[in-house]
Amino acid sequence: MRVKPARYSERYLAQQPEDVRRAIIGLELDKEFGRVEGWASSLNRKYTDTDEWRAENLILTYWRIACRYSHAAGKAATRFLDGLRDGKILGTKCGRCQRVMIPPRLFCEWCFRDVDEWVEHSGEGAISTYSLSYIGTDPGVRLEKPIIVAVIWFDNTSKKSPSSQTVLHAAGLLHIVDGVKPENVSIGMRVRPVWRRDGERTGSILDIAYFTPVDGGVG
Amino acid sequence: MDVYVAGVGEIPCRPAYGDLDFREMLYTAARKAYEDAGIHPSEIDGIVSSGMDFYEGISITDSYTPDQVGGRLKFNTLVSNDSLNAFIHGYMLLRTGHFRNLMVTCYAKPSNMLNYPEVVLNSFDPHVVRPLTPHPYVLAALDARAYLSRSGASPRDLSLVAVKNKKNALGNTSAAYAGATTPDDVENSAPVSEPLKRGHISTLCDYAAAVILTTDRRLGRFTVKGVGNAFGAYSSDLSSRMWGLLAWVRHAAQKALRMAGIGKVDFVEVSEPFAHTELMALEGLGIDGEPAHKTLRAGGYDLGGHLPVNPSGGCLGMGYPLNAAGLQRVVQSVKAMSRMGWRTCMILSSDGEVVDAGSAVVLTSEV
Repeated sequence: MRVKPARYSERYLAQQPEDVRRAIIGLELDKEFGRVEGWASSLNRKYTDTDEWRAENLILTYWRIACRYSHAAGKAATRFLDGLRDGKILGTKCGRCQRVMIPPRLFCEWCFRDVDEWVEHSGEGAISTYSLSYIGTDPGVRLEKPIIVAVIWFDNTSKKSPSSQTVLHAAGLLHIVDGVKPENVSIGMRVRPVWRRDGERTGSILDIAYFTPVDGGVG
Repeated sequence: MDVYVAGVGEIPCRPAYGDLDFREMLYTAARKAYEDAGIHPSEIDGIVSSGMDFYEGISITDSYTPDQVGGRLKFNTLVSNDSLNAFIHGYMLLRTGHFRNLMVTCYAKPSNMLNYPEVVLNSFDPHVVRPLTPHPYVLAALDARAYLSRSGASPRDLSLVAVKNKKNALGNTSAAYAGATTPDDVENSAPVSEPLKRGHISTLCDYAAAVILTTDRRLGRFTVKGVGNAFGAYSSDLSSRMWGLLAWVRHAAQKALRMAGIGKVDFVEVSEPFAHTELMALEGLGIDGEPAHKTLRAGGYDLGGHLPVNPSGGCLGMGYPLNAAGLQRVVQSVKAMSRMGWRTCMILSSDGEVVDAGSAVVLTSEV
């Protein structure tokens, strides 16, 4: 799969202060890489109007550089992302230790051998750990309503050590949980993926819109 | 072949050094280390620095290090991890016998960073994590939640850690965020990402440190008795991580304790970007015999307790200088042994804010 040029996601842009968002869009950094203005005007452009980012007493040299990459996803992740576009969660399974790996890898680092068995998973599982987040990735942004960030461990994929019952491995994803009141989320809550509609999916982890309680949620 | 600490230097933690650049900060720290060791820069054989280019905003950070620390035209290398890892690299280089004196340096200038959370995004998997744009504090909160669930500790225990460390920092002139607070103050601070409140999170600070290591016993003032490092995380993604525990600590600390030939230490210095990091590290260390939060509640980790933890104030009290946190602990340990008469300490430092990897070092005041 040829990876498309990186873009700022809508979610990311939504977190930016208004003037930064305006600058990103104005410079077309939200679109394809390489279509920015010339160096001189780019460097002289005022970066932000956000007061707390100013340091009036300092002598600063601003270097605004858009380091942009197009990461090769690799064989395993490409098939995984293609699967997401098709509304499927795909993983690999090690024939020796029987671990299911989601996101998939083409090797098992436990057995240190190649892995080529592919499996599909419904994405149903339990919340392993979670947090109610009031922050975005921008220091100036505080979210009015918290988002629920969670690690979901998929059903029938966890391996435990016989002595301590410690989970040594589980297939799963870090993702957003929605469709439930934050105060009702708990470790162990059973959730399922909610997919974006056919035609809206692009081969991205965001093709899963969020995870939601299997029982339909409680508010 | 034994390796000794000959001298240490630092520039105090501050929210921002607006009037100094990183070269000037490092120069100040290095000058103090040379004065402390009583040697001239010409006697140093090489430099091991710690730095992460994406924090500094400068590629090949180590090429900017030698001049200001007395390392020009000498051996120079960079460890792109926490500075305690760089300290261990310095220790190992000396034990090859090729060097007599080495300087380990580090600095952090997060005040230069306009968008810290966005910069940290670059360290996450570009396909399955980065598009979700998680703030590093959110990932830390996932760890905190899992730790509380796993151990039976309560969020108030996190507040007790913050209160203890900020109080300890009152006696440390290098600390930027010392204060007399109460658990209620911390509980009432703004929720950031539950269960983490603002008061549970170490504030970033500007800082620089330099430590001179030597194999020359005449210069030695403290002995590096044991070192260990381990990588506990699964590197591929975050979902298969063992949330709520630091798997690296047990392996790294046991290695260091075995090398040192001891089972107990007089005090512990541990980098804690978050309050729960300290408790998770102490769980992994396991030399206490009790769940960490129970010892904490009983005052066992206080200055007057049976195992003082972060008598310097830790990162909650001093400020969190990113990858410089490990060497920050080394300098504070040396200061504490000089001031308090303690003889042995365990130093622990993770290779990042929420990374399950890190280093352990045992220091003693015996030479």
